[in-house]
Amino acid sequence: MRNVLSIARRECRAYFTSAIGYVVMAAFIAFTGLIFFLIVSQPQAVASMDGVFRNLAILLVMLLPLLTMRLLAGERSGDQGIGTIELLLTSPITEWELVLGKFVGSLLYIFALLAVSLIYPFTLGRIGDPDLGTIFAGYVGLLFFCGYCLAFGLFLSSLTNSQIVAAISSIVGLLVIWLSKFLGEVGGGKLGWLAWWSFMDHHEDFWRGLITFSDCAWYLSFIFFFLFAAKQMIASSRWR
Amino acid sequence: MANDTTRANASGHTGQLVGGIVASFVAFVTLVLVLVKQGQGAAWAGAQTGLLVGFALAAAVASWCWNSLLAPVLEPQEGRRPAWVGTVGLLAAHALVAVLLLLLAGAGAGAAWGKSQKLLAVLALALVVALVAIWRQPLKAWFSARGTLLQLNAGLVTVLVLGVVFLLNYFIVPRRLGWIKKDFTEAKYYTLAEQTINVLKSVTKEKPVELIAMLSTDQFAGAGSHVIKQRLNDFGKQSAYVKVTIWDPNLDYEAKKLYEEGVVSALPAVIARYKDEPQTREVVTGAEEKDITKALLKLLSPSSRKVYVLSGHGELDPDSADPANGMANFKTVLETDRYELAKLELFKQAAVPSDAAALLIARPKSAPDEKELQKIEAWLAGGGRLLLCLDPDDKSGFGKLAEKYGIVFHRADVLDQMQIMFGGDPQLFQGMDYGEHETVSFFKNVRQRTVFFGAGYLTQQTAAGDYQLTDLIKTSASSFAQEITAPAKPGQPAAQGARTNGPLTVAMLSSTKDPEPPKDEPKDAAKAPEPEKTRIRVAVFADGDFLANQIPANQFINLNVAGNIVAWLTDNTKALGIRAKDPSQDMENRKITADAKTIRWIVILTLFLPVLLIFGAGVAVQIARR
Repeated sequence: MRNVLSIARRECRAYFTSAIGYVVMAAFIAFTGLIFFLIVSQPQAVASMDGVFRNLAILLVMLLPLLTMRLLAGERSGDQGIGTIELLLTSPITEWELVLGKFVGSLLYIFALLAVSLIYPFTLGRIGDPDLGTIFAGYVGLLFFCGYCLAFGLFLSSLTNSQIVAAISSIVGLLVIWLSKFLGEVGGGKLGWLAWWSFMDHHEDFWRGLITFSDCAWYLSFIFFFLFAAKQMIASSRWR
Repeated sequence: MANDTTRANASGHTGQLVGGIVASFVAFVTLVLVLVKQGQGAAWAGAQTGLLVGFALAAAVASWCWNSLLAPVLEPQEGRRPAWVGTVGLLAAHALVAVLLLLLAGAGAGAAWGKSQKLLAVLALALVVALVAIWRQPLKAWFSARGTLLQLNAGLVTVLVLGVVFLLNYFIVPRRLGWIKKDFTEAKYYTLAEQTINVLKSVTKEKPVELIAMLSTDQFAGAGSHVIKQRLNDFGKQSAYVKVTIWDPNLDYEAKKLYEEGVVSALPAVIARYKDEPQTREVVTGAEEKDITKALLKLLSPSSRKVYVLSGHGELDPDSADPANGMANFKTVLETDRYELAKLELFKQAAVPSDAAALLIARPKSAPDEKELQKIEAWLAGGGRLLLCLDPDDKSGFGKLAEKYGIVFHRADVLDQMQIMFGGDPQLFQGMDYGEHETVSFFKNVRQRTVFFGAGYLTQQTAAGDYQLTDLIKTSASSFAQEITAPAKPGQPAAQGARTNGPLTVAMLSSTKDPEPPKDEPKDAAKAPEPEKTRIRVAVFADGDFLANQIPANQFINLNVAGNIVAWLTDNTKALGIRAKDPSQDMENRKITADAKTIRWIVILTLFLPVLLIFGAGVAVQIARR
C-alpha cells in the first residue's frame, strides 16, 4: 500500500509540475465554463447541471487520454527517449502496485479537476434553486466515468512505447465504445447487447439523480478489468 | 551511400504501408457494399459481381503490399520460397475475413443455416488450414519462443477475467441485485410512492397479478424505455404476487394482436390482469407510476364510486367543454379514477341520493332555496362529503354552509403585489405553498403549481368545535386581499373595503375530529369504532374557476389536487400521492432568470477567472522549475 501511495503521490505531483496538467485543467474549465454560460444565459434556462454533465462526457473522452498517455508508455520511452520501466520493474514493487499507483495518482488529479468545477453548482445555487441531490449523483457518475477512461487509457498506454499512439488509440477506443451504444440501439434485436458495452448506457441514471448498484458494479468491474489487463501487459514484458 | 539506401528502404516501406492500408480499406468497403446490396434483398446482379471482383483485386494489391512489409517477420528463412506464396497467404487471410463477415451478416439477418452458409463455413475452415500450412514455419517458431506460452497464458487469463466481468454484470448483478439503488432527486422521482407500495402489497397469493407494459424497445424509445423498465422492476420487487412483463408490439405477436384489436390505442400502455384470468384486465395509456398504479387499482377494486355534481344554480357543467363554464376535463380525471359523475338537481329530489360518495358544488352563481340547503346539511350530518368551489364575489350563499364546518369564506379579491409590479394580471397568482396534508404534501416536494384566476380567501373559525381544519394552499407573502363590500354592478368595479396582507389561505379542509377514547377504559384497537365512515368532510376552494376547462392541465396541477381531494373525501386514499411524477415539470419550476449584470458576473466568475488562475499557476510553476 505504501508503494501504491508513493507512486500515486509522484504521479499526481508530476501533473502539477508539468505543462500538460495545467493545459488539461485550463481546457477543461474553459470548455465547461463556456457550456455553463451558454446554458444559463438562455431565456428559459433551468437551474440544472444536466446539460453540463452531458457535454463534459465528450470533452473528457478527448482530454483524459492526454493524461494517461504518459503513464506507462512514458515509462517505456521516457521524455528524452530513456525509459525507466526497467528501473521500476527491478525495484521491489509488484506490477499491481505500479498499475494501482499510476491509476490512483491520475484519479487524484481528476479529483482536483472536478473540485474546481464545483464552482458551477455553487454559482447555480446563487442564481437559482438546483436539485442538489441530482448534482451530487451526477458528480459521482462523472467520477466513475473518469475512472473508466483513466483505466482504459492506462491499459492502452501499457501496450505501446509511443505516447502519441497511446493517446490516439485511447481516444479512438473510447469513441468506439461510446458509439457501440448507438450501434446497439440502431441494430436493435440481435445487436442490442452492443449497447451494454458502452459507458453511455450506464451513465444516464447518474445524470437523472439515481445511483444504481448495477451501474456502479459495471464501472468498477471494467475499471478492475482494464487495470488487470495493464498489469498483465507489464508482467508479460518481464518474460520477453 | 548507406544513408541513401536506408532512406530508399524507408520510403519504400512507407509506400507499402500506405498502399496496404488503402487497398485493404477499399477491399472491405466493396465487401460492405456487397453486403448492403444483399441486405436490401436485391437479386444477384452484375453490380454485385463487379463489386466482388473489385474486392478480389483490392485484396490482391493489399496482400502484395503487406507481404513486402511483413516478409522479414513472417519468413525467417528468407529466400526459401518465392515471395508470391506469402502474397497468396495474405490473400487467403483477406478471403477468410470476408467469408467470416458474410457468415456474420447472414446470422445478423436471421437467415436460416442453409446450403450457402454451410459452404461458407467449409470455405472458412479450408482457408484456416491453408493459412496454417503457408505459415507453419513462423507459427512453429513463435510457439517455441521463450515466453510465448506465458504470454498466451496471460492473454487467456485476461479473456477469462473479461468473461467473468461480462457474466457478472450482464446476467447476475442486474437480475439479483438490480433493485439496489439510491434516489438522490429531491422529489424522489424514481422511488415508488408509499401508496403504490400499499396497493402492491394488497395483491394476494390467491389472485396473483400480471403487469404488462407495452412499449417500443427500438432505437426511438430512448432513455424513456429504460426508465419504464426500471420502474416496472420496482413494481415487481414489491410483491411476490405481481409479475412484470414487457411487450413490444413490433416483436411480440400477442402484443401486436392487442394493438391491432384496439385494446391498446397508444404506446406506452400498461395492462393489469389476473394471472389466472387473463380476460379480466384493465388497460391504461402511459407507463408512469400513476398509470401503472391506476391500472392495478382498477383491477383490484372494480366497483366505481358516485360523485354528484349539483346543478341548477349556474354551476360549471361537467359535460361541457366550454373553457369558462365547463369542467369536462375534471370529469375525465375522475372517471379515470373510477368515479361516476352524475348531475343532481336537488330541488327535484327528496334528499341527496344515498349512493353519493361525494357532492361537488362548483362555482354556483345563484342562491339555492332553503330546502336544498337543508337537504345538503342533513346529508352531511350523516357523514356526507362536500367539495365546494366559490367565486371571490360569491352571491350564492354557500359560503354560509362552509362556515358551519369551521371554514370562513371571505368575499374578496386576492391580488399579487409582484404581478402589479411587473404589469401582469394582479388577480392571477400561482399556489405553491401547500399545507401538511396527504392530499398535497407530494406536490409540495415536486414544486408543482396550481393557478388561480381570481380568488377570495378563507380563514379558520376561532371556535371550530368538532372540526379539524387544515390550510391546504396558501398565497405568497407578496399577496393581499381587498374585501368586497358591495356587489359589482354592470360596468362598475366591485366596491372594496379592508385590506388583509398575505399569505392567505385559498383552499381549506374541514373534517370531524377523531372521537377521544374514554379515559378510564384501556385503548383497544379491536373495539375502536370506524370513524372514517361517519366523519363529515368538507373541502373549500376560494376560486370558482379552479376546476374549469380553461386551466392549462399541462402546466398546472389544479385538477390533480382536486382529484386527490375527491379521493380523500371518498376515503379512497390508496389513490393519493401517485399523481403526476414528472421530472420535466420539476425542471419547469427550477427556471432561473438572470439579468445582463448577473450574466456578466457569471462569465467573469466561471469562465475567465478560473482559466486565468490556472494558466497563471501553470506559468508560475514552469518558471519556478527552470
